[in-house]
Amino acid sequence: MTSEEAAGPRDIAVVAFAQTAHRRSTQESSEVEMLMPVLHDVLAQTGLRTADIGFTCSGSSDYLAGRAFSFTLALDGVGAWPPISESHVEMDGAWALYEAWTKLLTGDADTALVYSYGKCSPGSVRDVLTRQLDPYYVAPLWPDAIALAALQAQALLDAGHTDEPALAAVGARSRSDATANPHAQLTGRVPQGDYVVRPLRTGDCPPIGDGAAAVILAAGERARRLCERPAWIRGIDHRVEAHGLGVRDLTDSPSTRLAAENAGAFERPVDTAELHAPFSSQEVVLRRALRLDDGVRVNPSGGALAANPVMAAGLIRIGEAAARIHRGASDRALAHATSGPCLQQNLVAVLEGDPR
Amino acid sequence: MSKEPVAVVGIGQTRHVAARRDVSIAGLVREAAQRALGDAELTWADIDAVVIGKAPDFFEGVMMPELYLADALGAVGKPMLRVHTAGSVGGSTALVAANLVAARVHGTVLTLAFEKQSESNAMWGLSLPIPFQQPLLAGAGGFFAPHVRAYMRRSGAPDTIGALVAHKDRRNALKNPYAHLHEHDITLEKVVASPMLWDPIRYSETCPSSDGACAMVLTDRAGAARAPRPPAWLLGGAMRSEPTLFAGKDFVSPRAGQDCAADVYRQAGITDPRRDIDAAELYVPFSWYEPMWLENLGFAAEGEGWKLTESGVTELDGDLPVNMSGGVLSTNPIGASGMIRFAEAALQVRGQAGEHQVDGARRVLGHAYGGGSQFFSMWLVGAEPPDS
Amino acid sequence: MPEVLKAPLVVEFPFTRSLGPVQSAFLTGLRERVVLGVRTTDGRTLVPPVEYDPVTAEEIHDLVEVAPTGTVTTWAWNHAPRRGQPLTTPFAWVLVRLDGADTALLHVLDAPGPDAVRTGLRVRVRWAGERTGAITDIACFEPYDGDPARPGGHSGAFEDPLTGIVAPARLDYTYSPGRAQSAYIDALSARRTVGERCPSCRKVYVPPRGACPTCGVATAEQVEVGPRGTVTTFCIVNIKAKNLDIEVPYVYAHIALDGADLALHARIGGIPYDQVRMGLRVEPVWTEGARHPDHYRPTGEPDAAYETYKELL
Repeated sequence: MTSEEAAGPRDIAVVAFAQTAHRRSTQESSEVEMLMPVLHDVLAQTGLRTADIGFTCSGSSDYLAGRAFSFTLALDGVGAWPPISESHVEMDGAWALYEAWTKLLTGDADTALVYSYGKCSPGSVRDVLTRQLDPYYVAPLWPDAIALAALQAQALLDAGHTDEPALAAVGARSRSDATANPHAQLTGRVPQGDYVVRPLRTGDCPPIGDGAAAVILAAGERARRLCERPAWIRGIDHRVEAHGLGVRDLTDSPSTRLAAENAGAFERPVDTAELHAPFSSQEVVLRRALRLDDGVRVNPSGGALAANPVMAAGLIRIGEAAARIHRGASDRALAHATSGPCLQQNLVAVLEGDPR
Repeated sequence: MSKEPVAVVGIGQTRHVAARRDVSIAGLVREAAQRALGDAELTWADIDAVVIGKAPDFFEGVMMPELYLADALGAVGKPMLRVHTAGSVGGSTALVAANLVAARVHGTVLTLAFEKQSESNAMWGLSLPIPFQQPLLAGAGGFFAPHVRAYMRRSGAPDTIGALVAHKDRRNALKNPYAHLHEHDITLEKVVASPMLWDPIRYSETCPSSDGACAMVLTDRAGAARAPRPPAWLLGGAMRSEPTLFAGKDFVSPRAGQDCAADVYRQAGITDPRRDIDAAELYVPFSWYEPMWLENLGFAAEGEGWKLTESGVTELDGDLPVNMSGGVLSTNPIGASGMIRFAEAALQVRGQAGEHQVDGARRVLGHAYGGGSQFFSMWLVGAEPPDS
Repeated sequence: MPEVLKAPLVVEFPFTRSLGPVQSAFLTGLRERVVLGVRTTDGRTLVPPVEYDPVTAEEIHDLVEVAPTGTVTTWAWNHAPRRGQPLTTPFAWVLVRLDGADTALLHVLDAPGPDAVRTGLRVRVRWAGERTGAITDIACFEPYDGDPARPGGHSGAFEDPLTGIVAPARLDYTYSPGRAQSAYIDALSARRTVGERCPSCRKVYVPPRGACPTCGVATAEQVEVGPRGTVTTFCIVNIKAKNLDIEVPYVYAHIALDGADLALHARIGGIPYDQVRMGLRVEPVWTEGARHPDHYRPTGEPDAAYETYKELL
């Protein structure tokens, strides 16, 4: 708690979270037009203005937009005048949050605005993501994102970790839970559908959509003043694995487990987990890596299977977990974000509310 | 709790050239990283985290290439961050890495920035077509040339200043084995006689397009105590951003640059940069940006920066040497250019800059900028630890 | 509100990739129908051969030939091949551990249908007819029920090794500029330049980008500006860009249109390039069917005083 601030690292909390209603296409809006209402929303929740924010950090991808330096125009929505202390990662916004967390830890800033956005509608995201792969041996084959996830899913089936009905149940549960989430894109009863790339069916895959999200972090007493029940970041860590799919055990996620250990996730049980699993099969991998049992509420928001704005979907997991703590629906929650083919890179955060 | 002091204990860069055809992208970054580790006498196992930066992914045609580079950078099982803040990214990347140490999240961090521009073509990468927009220009020179003209008008600087800067930086590059351009027969006359590309910017007043990488090992006090060579200490570091285009924007002397420098000077206890700072590595992609930044950073009053250049103050043997390494004008792997500025500043205070060493350099500024003169990152490094 | 504009945007480039020694040997080997792996110091054989050990981060370069036969470690059936993928008929994506290797290679398997594929299936390389030194020199894998092939013991040294590859990449996007820019472009079609005013700072943005970048709020109130304006600064472009059909030299200028609070960028014509100056008063010249003014030309008015536009510079 903040009374211990002098002795150890600062306590830092998520104090506000906002997101768009995620949709298949937002072509009537530019990126900044899509993002700006979310920034206004998250600031309004705390009563802060841009000028009050100590550090700003964002995450996005030029490849998604098809334009170099695309993030520079998104900055228009922030109102960066007078000039602001600001940075950008070419990663999911969850890693922007990580950078902001380190900035607050140094004591250089007491508050941070973190945002990210992604528009999947302009391009074909499953093909765009092939450009992430080894440019010499793999990218020339254009193995799309669903194909790679399907290879991972088959490995899980072969290992006996899941079966097709269990995968379908993950999708069904996610979209059912998403009916209570006004921001979700795909909700309610969704047919499991045909194979897209076998063994993955339509229902195992995320919807393609556009969206943005923003979070405000604050340190110590500042957090308490800005939020009735701050979601304290008890630990946060991220780890990357080898790039080649053929050198990894696709049925496991050692980087998730290691990040969770470093974030203190295994010290006490969590009641909620928001997992960034764009494919139903990846939830199976993550549950095992994180040792989540049936007592843990997994993806009450519906998760990435209900809305997957690429580059924002990981930050949204942290935001959703924090929002649950804010409203008293959780006391200790785990949030996870992923990047790269077949869960190559993973981030885990453990959030807690003050005792009630 | 105060911040952990941050030390630079390892520096490595590639020999920058137009095209490194003998290595893969991984081979290029690895070379710089290995040299930085070698300088620090550390192994891959000693590194707790990797922070990597580069400019747009389209340059190499690899989306988020850090995913593919994880193995080459020994990052497997470790945290890896990827920064992208346009041209300032090399500097920003180093500062993000420094924060990991300052916040005591990690003890020792490898930071690296690169660009392998020969994989595509910078002109293409910087000028992707945008529907509904009138194509008027290609490349960065045309974008910046009108601002140079504005500076000349505002300051009344004689039109020879740009050539003086280019001549100086290219001569400095002859003393730096890692620099891309080694123009042994360079003369002021040749610079002046070079073709006007984007009037008022001449060919010899522009930066090349390079393949290259730069890496640094940053560590805490304990790490610095074990270092085999003198460390450079971070005395102040900051980033500032302002919008790309806006009503009232001063492209000649952007406020974000002024504010960023002021923050760095405040942290480092600098009250008179002209007196308190011994040398500077400034991001000067077009020669006229030297006098412009000298004013923006407070080394000279507004409209007076060119006088420092003209009187030889910024020469290698001058009172305030600028771009001892030859600068961006001699070496420009875009994403790495900012980190090279930061690394060269650190080399100077460590006394490791070889032939382009400034005698007695104790406090040196590293500077980077990017986008539409809107993103700034700077650090000031010293030979002594902070508060000593 | 005008209809939302959209247009195709193609991002395409033939990237030139240098390989380094290990990747060069592997791809040259494929050209010569030899599959090479690389040995780690602890004795594992990695296929495809990578330059750095994913476990220890060591640089590795000890090449060893492996068999063109192997075993499927996982698979996925792709009934609808996509652009650029190795086969145009339905196929399986496979990870294959070649005989003699400890890791698996990603490629495709030509099989009659998903029922013919399983993990553990034995397969062999089907070589492409024309091979250039690329991963696609393996046309695909095919089911194989013979004995494991014996590797030839190739050293990895070739007489004519490849140093680089060309990797063309094309991505297709549909670009839409959003509400504010669509409205601006729509007005241009009637030869009107319409900016938007910030409700907070009252500055007029041309072209509008949907947000006032200093206030961070949406601009909405439309304001027609120009058509005349003042050249605030410029450069003379003497270098011809490959993708631009403009004769050099030409003048690229920043023009503050009357009523706008920042300059837009355009070409100046109707005056010798070396007579263009800061403060020159200009007006647009339209050509039939063009979306933007072709260029701006002098109005003949006296030059604007520096004091009147220096804040817009």
